Amino acid sequence: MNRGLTGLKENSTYQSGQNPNSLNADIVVNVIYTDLPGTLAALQSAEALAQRLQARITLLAAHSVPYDLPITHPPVSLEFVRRRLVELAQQAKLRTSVEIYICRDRTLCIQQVLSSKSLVVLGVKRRWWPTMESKLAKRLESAGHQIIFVEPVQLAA
Amino acid sequence: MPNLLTRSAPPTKTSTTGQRVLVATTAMLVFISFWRAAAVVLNDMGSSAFYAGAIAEHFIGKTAPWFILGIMVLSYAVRSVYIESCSMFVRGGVYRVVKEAMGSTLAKFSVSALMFDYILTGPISGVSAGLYLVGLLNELLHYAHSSIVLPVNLTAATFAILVTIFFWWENIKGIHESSEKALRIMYVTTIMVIMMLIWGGYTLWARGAHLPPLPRLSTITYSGDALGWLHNTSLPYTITLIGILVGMGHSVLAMSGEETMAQVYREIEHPKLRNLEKAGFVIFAYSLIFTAGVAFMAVMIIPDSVRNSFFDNPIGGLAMHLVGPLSLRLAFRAFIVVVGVLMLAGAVNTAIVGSNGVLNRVSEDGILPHWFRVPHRRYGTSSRILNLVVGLQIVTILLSRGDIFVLGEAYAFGVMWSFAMKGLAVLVLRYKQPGKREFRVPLNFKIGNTEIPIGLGLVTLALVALCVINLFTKRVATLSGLAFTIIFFAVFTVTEKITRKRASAHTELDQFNLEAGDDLTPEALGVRPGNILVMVRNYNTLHNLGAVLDRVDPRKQDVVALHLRFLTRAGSGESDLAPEQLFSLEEQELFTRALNLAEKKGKTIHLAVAAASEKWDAILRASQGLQSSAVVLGPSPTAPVNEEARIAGLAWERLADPKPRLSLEIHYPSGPEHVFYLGPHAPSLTPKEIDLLHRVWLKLSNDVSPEEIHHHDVIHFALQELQLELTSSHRESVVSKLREHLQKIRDRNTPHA
Repeated sequence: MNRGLTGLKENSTYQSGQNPNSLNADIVVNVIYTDLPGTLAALQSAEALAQRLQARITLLAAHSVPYDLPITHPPVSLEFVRRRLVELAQQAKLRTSVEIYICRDRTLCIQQVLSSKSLVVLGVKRRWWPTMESKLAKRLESAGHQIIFVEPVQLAA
Repeated sequence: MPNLLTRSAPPTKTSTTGQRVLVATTAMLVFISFWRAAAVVLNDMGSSAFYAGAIAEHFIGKTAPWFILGIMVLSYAVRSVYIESCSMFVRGGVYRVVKEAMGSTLAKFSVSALMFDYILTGPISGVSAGLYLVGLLNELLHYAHSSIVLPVNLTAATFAILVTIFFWWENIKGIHESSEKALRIMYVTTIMVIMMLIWGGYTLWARGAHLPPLPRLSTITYSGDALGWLHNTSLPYTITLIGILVGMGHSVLAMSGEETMAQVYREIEHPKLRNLEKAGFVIFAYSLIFTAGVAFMAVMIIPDSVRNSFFDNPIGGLAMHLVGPLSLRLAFRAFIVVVGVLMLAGAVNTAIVGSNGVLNRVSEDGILPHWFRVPHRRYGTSSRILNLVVGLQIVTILLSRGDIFVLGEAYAFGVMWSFAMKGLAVLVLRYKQPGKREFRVPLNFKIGNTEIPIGLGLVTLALVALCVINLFTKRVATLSGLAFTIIFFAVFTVTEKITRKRASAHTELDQFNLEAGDDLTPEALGVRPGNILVMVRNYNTLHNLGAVLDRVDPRKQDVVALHLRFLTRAGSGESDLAPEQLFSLEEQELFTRALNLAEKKGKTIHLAVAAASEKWDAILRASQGLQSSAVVLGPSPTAPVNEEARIAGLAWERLADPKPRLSLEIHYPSGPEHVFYLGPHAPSLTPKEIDLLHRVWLKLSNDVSPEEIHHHDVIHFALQELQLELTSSHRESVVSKLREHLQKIRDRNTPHA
């Protein structure tokens, strides 16, 4: 399977006064974008974790595009997604990289992007029925990644 | 300063106090196998098997399965038209191909017809799913001795509206399930098809049956609404061809969805065109078995006396008339309903997504005002287009009152005209762009220099003939289709005139994000060491990139396309250029073409642009940084190949240690290539040289026996001796002999007049 086209990785937020070099560049806490409250909760949790581990945070957002649309034309405006993620990333006090992926298959994309045995924080509401996020978590766990679940409601409380 | 590029929207830079945010986007395009491509198309095309056969039988009687079979054979020919069109335009939807061939007016007409097709796909699929569901519910209520009977069309229409609203909301939120779903639905559908074939086959064997009557004027029985404006003429009853065309015209729904082939082509893996052909064959074989199989079995298994009552859910009726216990048949029918609802509801979503995509595209082209693309405040989707599409679909469902035959009749208009326009466009392109193609619809002859594309001509003629006959026989389709198309066409034309003035002149170019980086490294570009570095300069001379993409296996080796932007003294200044300054419209065009080429070959490339002041220093520094194994470029317009190689060698010597071992390939547009090796490398010996080495080795192996000697020992010894002679007083004589040797080779290679 070929991974295609490209790579504009970038981004980061640097809190003024913080030296990004003081962080352990090898450890990354990955937050996967789910929804606004879930991701916010996951980011807060990831921040506490990253501080203890001297790690950096990467916020990953994978948006799947149906085959009826060209991959470069996702149904959700990219500009809109960027703005929303920047706002979210700015909530974190630590250095946070934001990576947006547009793909055909969200799970496959996230699996390809994560390096082996990654630490992943997933902000989801637990349901008794299988959801997209629970299926994603299962796939990631079986691929050897470590998943930490954060419940948005609990955190807010 | 090299820059990494990605295709996507322009870079976003957001600055806040004490913070700097640059957000990046990556398009993760995964090339898919022909199986998966076929599954995506079949998900769309297969849904018509749930209603096409029964609709055809409603209009033309028991001969309908033969017409469905005929349409499936025609779909195989239409598949060839799509393959030829894809071989010319990787991103070749109807709009693009028709615009290229016949101009923007007819392209707008084609898009209007396509929109009619999309708008109708939703209601017909939703209503059909509702009919299957209500059919099962009524059957269950009947067996439960309930007196409740759900009104069929009303319940189906209500269900269709609910499904449409559900998918409208999903699309407004922009949530899309994994594309894996298409494949899973096809797995389940395949299980259903296999069960139906085996069970149906057993039923036919156990009960015996007759094939449907072959279509003749005497066997085609037109329903009251089958002939439209031809009703009062004797033509359909006296001219066989007209009768056949009327029958085919009522069966064309069976091949709706084939246009999805053009959408998936861009993402089919290498070898792209061959894989598209395979996918096309899988699609043909599957739909032949499924759609035509259902039509034949329905006529052969369901008794004539009750078949009318199952026209709205023929597969459900088929299940109920198989041999076996009632409970098993009911369970199978429930399974069919589940599969049908999944597939048909999926088609409702596809129709919404597809219409949204087409209208977005025409809006980007300046044909619709930008107002339509303003993102939803909360979800960022193009909600105005979605509202328009879904509004039209709900109005269609309400107007049809859940009547699948009315919907089917109207639906055929959009399907046929978009196919016919595509065929016509590909035919026109044979003369307008008569160059070489990777694929041509077969049966082509030449009279002098003029090509006569018999195959393509016949397919196009058949499609146009079906469109014309449908104009006369399908009143609802003609009136509604023409009204819709004219309204859309008028809207497109007026808004184009208004928006064109404001539209960007380069909407067809891809947008690239720029990421500034200090160095070109494998990590920065996401490539593996040992990659091939292809120098791209001009978008008209990408043959070197094409040659590399033809031979490279992307699983083993990455390809980097690098463009050097030469800076003059005046231009360079003291400080680095900003990425945007490095990336002009020319580079945008160059990379768009390079990406198109890569997509056409189904292989991945990585793009980079770097500022340079000296060509070979920049190329070799880039290859060193990227740890490339080969540099591939086209011939220089100013220097001969050998001179280029010599300058490259000198530049290689100037590189910082450790110097890389590189092969330098110079490709000519006409095909030949010259390979040079930079740095220490094993020379490629000619057969003559190997023969000489072997002869020397033979002589020496006798002389030094019983010592063991190898060919490489001979070379090693000879080189050491040469080195000694070069440092001795014989140097002049050695160099003079070498000159003579080189002169002899040159004389031998120079062709005599």
